Amino acid sequence: MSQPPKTILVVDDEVYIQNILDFSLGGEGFVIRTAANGEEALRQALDQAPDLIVLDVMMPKIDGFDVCRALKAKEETKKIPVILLTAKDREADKRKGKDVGADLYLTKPFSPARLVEQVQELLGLPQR
Amino acid sequence: MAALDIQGLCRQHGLREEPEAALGGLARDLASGLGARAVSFHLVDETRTSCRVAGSAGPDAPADGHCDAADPARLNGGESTLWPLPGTDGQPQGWLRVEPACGHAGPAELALRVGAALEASRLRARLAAREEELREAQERIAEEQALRDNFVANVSHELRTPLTSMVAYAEMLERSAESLDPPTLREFGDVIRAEGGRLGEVFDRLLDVAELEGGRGRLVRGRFDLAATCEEVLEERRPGFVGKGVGLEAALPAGPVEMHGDRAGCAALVGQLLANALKFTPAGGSATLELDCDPTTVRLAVADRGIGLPAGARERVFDRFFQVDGSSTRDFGGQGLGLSICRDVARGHHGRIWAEANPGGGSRFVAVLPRLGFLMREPRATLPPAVRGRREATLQALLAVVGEALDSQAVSLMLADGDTLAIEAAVGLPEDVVRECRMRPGEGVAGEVFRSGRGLVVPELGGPPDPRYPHPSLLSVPLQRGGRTVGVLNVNRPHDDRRYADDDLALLEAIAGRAVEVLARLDRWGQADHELGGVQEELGELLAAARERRSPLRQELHACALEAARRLGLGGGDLGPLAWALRSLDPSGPGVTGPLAARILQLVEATAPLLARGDDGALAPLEAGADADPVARSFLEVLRERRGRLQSAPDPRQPGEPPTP
Repeated sequence: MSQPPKTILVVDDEVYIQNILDFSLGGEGFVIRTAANGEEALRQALDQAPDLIVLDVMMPKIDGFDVCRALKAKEETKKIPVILLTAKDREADKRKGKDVGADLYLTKPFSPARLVEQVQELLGLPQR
Repeated sequence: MAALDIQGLCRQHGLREEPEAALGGLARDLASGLGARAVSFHLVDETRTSCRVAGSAGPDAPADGHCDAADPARLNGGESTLWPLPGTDGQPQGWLRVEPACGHAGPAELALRVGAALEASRLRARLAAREEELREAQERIAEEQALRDNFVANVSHELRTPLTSMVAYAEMLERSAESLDPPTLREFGDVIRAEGGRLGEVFDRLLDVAELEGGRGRLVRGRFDLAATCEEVLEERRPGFVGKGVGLEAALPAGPVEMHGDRAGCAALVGQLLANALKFTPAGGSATLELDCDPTTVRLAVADRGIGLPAGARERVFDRFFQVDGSSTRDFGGQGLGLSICRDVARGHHGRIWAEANPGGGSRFVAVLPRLGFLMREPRATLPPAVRGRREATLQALLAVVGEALDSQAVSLMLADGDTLAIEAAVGLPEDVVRECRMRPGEGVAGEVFRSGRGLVVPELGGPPDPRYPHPSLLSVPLQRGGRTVGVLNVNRPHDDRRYADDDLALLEAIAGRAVEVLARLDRWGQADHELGGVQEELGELLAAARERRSPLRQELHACALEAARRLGLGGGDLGPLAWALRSLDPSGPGVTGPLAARILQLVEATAPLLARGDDGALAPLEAGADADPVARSFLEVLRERRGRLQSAPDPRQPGEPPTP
């Protein structure tokens, strides 16, 4: 019997980015949920326990660094892999990403195909 | 006579810690030790014109605070001995006077110790002031650095976000083109096109800023129809409003609004104001563009029903890189450039722009620009084109400085051509006036100034309307070189419709002195044009000083100082430069040579930071020494009067709020 599909929470305030992640990850069989700000992301992470979170940093309300830190501090969510996907490409930002517990730090612009591979890798799925 | 333990006395009275406070006790002990009729310390003021008693004892001693001329011969009077209180520059800081005359070694030692302690105290005070300045400068630098850091992060985000979509969608198209249905293909293409447009807009804003840097000298002037420009910009921007579901209305005059200025700059101004309104108005809201005009001025207003601006941000929103929320969790994107572009364009047109609360919610941005821009007389055919261009750019900058300093929309520079005055360059005057106006000595206001060599302030011009003077109040000052009047500088049409006063005349006279230097340099460019940098730097400094004048605190101090100066009989050569220097509060300001003027400047300098902190006891340190210092006394009296008046009848306008044009 095949495994149920994995759920990915995509958090970005840019609709086009949400859509392309939905298209590329959804096309590989993942179930995609979306959130447009940090507050919503935390709520959904707690309510729905996704298998992985793709998280932007510069967003309204709570930024991605703080969301990641909060997720990694909670027993219920600390095991969920988090990919920070952000325009912030300075070394200091990358260090900060590591400090808040992100599993992967990717900078924009990004390759959707490569992102799919990295998601599969983090979830221990076979890559095509 | 018993030996005096001078060192012990100094320690006992705390001379090293607070030398001035110790002088009274020292005088008493010395008088009793010597059995003197009078012992007194006389301290010379900074201008070395007078000295005051800062500690005295004995039946015949002058009272503390008593003031004399700084002349040892008059202090001595023949019955006493004077010991100088030495200062480091070789000039005594004052004298220790003992009556009757005596040859005891004690006073000589005491005078040396007091001199050293006063000097050390002065150095400590100077050091503390420098430290304070340094701290303030560091704070300013840190604030600017933070703004720049924010800017870099925000620009990076604004550039990368659309780029990210473009790259990602292009990659998906490349990989999956065969499997995508036609609507999805079209959607991907649309996204790439829309995000490309968004990227272009960010670049345009960055380029606009680079072009308009400093707001002067780079505007391309010509005639155009501002109403038509507004229509074009509205059409360009409308899709953005439709896309977000924000209404866009316009109230434009039915016919053309002809204007002389930079069409692209004005289009950028309208565009940025609309972009700003769109950004801060939620879906379902609306924004309005209004354009009004009279024969001399246009008024552009963009009102929105958005989130509005905190009162404290109304001034700062026009600062480059400033954003009401510049944090990484902000709700709105942007780089803090749009409104700074608007301000640069407004300044480049000798106009002004401000933000106000929109009645009923949201914000309203208003720009008022003169319709008649910078014009020059016939180009001087004898000059090489490069020199001509620089001359034009420099005169334009000079008139901008004058217009800004005097808050006025019409400025004209007239130069003597034989015994006739002709307009060399002007802003805010009709073209035919600029081309044809000729005035003979004694003819009209400018002609009278040309004839007499004396500046005139006309609060209200009588008679029928005169196209040369669009507003009834005007200022006119001579430009003098080598004792000869070589031209006249005229200012007209104040932004707030006020009447000019003597104070404005003094400022314009001070600027005219600098303008003559600029003109002399321009003339030399005919032979060599390598001095451009120097002139532009000078103009930049003038402009920065003129902008400083807007600070309400500085205006207040400036008014107080001028009033005090008048009461003290300061005038003629001192008053003009003083007024100008006070505008900028620069102690090394041009031409402040008189000792009284220097003293007033010093008092203003000392008072400004105290008042700026809103400290009720701000005046106390000055009050302490005022009894003996007529200049300080007069300054303080005026300051108290004005503060009293202000407190009893508060100005309904908030500080920094622009006047209604």
